[in-house]
Amino acid sequence: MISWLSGASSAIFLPLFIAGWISLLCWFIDCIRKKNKVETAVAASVFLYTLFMFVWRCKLNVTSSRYHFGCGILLLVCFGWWGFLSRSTHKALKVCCFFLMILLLGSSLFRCFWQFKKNKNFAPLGQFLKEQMKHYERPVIVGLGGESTRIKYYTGLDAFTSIHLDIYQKELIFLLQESDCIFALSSPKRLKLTCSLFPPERPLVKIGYDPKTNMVICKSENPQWRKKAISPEGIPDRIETNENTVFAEDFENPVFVVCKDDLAFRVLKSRGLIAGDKTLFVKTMEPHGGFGLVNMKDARFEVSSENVVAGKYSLLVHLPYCSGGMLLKQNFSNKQSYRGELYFKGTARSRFTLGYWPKQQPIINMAIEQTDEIYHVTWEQPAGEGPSSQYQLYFFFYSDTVIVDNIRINQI
Amino acid sequence: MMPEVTHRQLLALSAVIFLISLMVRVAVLPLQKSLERDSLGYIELAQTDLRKAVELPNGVDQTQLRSRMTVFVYLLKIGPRLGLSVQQWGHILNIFAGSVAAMLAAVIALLIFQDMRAAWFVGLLTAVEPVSVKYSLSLLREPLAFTLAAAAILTTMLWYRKKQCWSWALLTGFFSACAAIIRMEMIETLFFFWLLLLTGVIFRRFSCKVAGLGLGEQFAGCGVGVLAVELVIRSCNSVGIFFGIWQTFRQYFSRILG
Repeated sequence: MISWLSGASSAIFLPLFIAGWISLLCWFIDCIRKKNKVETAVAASVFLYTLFMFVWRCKLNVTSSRYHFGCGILLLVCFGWWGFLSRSTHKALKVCCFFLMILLLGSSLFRCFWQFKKNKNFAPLGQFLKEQMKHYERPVIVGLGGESTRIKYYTGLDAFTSIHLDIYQKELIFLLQESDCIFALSSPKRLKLTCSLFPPERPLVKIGYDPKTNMVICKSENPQWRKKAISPEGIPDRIETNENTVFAEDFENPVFVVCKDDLAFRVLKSRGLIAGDKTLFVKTMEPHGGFGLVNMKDARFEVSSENVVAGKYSLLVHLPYCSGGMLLKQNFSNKQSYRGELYFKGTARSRFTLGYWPKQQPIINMAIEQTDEIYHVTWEQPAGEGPSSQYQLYFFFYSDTVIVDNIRINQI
Repeated sequence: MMPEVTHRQLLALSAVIFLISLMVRVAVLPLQKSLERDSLGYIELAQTDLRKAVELPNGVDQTQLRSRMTVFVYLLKIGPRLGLSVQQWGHILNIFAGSVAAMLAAVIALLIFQDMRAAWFVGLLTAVEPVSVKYSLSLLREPLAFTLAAAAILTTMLWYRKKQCWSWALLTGFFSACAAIIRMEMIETLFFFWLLLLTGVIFRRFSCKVAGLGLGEQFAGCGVGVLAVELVIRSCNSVGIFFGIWQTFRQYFSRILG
């Protein structure tokens, strides 16, 4: 019943609809009164038809007024109540009706032009965004709500991502890591809600307002993005471990085997790592086994002897068209502090993130600036920083090629 | 037609309503700064080469892409062949369709009310009605489907007024089928004919035999309509629409039946 009412509500407030229906009913009654069988049949058909269309569309539970537009022709024909009223013998009623018709035509014509005058113009907004985006290497524009398609089309900006609020939380985590600046477009009414979706360490700052589209433009910068990696000095072939070492992986152990079949990559025997694609990583990744990588055309996720960082083998992650994740099976305690390090190299502009799992808070975001230059990075996991008392770490690789080696985490 | 309306009057009515409708739409067109969201979707599809497209930017794959290629998209694809952009051609198509719809509305009003003044009023109102103008200037399926539905209603009325001439019933089915292929909701225009048959029999305007014949003729017209559209599409592209029609009907009825 509620769905019927919601469907009806989108049409019932149209004045033409109401007037058309009332007039149609009047016409039908008039035909019966005058005992004109031919006219009555037509009037009855038209009346029943509009009734059927209305009920049918309400049953469909369509909220868009566009779906009621099909009724338009009939409703306007129904508006031939003028025809009915013109037969009336009351002169005063005829005059009133005539003026009403003139008023209706005039107001319709005026509304036509007025309606389009209020149309949104996205060109200035696009120009403003283009200027702002020049200052960043990898900006992303986020548009909330239904306007995103039009903004994308009229601004012609490739960096546009339209996001729905229900999945926003998940997507935002990746966008925050993936970009050096997020531009968010929001209506003034929803600005507070939009700002609340961003984490405190990456707040949204208002940078402008476009009156032609009624949109507030905000941005959130990523200060970690430009962090430079350190060049290595004398990388050891094998990792040296001690009593404080919690996790160590140099990929030299033959137990670590990565297998590839036609459709998927699977870590068959792993001492401490699980790999997967972005979708699975977000939705279903569980720390108890390997799983496939989907849509991974030409992708490689393997322990390889080619182009190694150190020793005979390194972990090669080549993801030309998509991104993928990797989880450390090792559990870390929130009560302890840890210090980690790893060596990596790859193709320029390839990126990866290391963060806390399962909350997906990033610890470091790394971008490779020069192809085949080896970088050494260290990080810290201070006590109390982890998302829960027991947590894990994950790697997330965004694009192209990254070769990782000698991952070591020590307890401090 | 009606004894009191001459052909010249009818022609004048149609021409004036069509021209007014066209002028209003052309005058309002420059004020339009942005299109509807769905219009942009159609433009994107029309600009996509189905044979070369592997994946659309929004993640639509080949199978989904084919099911989204509606008749309207194929019509939009004609634009670039004529040296026009998809948007320009879409506007020409829809403005023309919207203007024809206003003209047809006037003639329908004339047939229903048998009153020239009512016809003028209905025609003018359809020509300047804001919703009608808005959709004529969009790149949506509505104006085209609306015009074909109006044509179906007009032929239904002509069948009724012209002593149940078989050719009008056939055309009713034809236009209804074409309208339904373009926009599935327009399948409702078939119902108007059925209602007229029913009320005509109830009020003894004609016999059950005539009504049955009319129904058969309408269904035959539907078949011709579906076949005609199929042939037109096949001549443009190797992708047939029977699959698309089936999918559309299935979706439509699954929505109703829950």
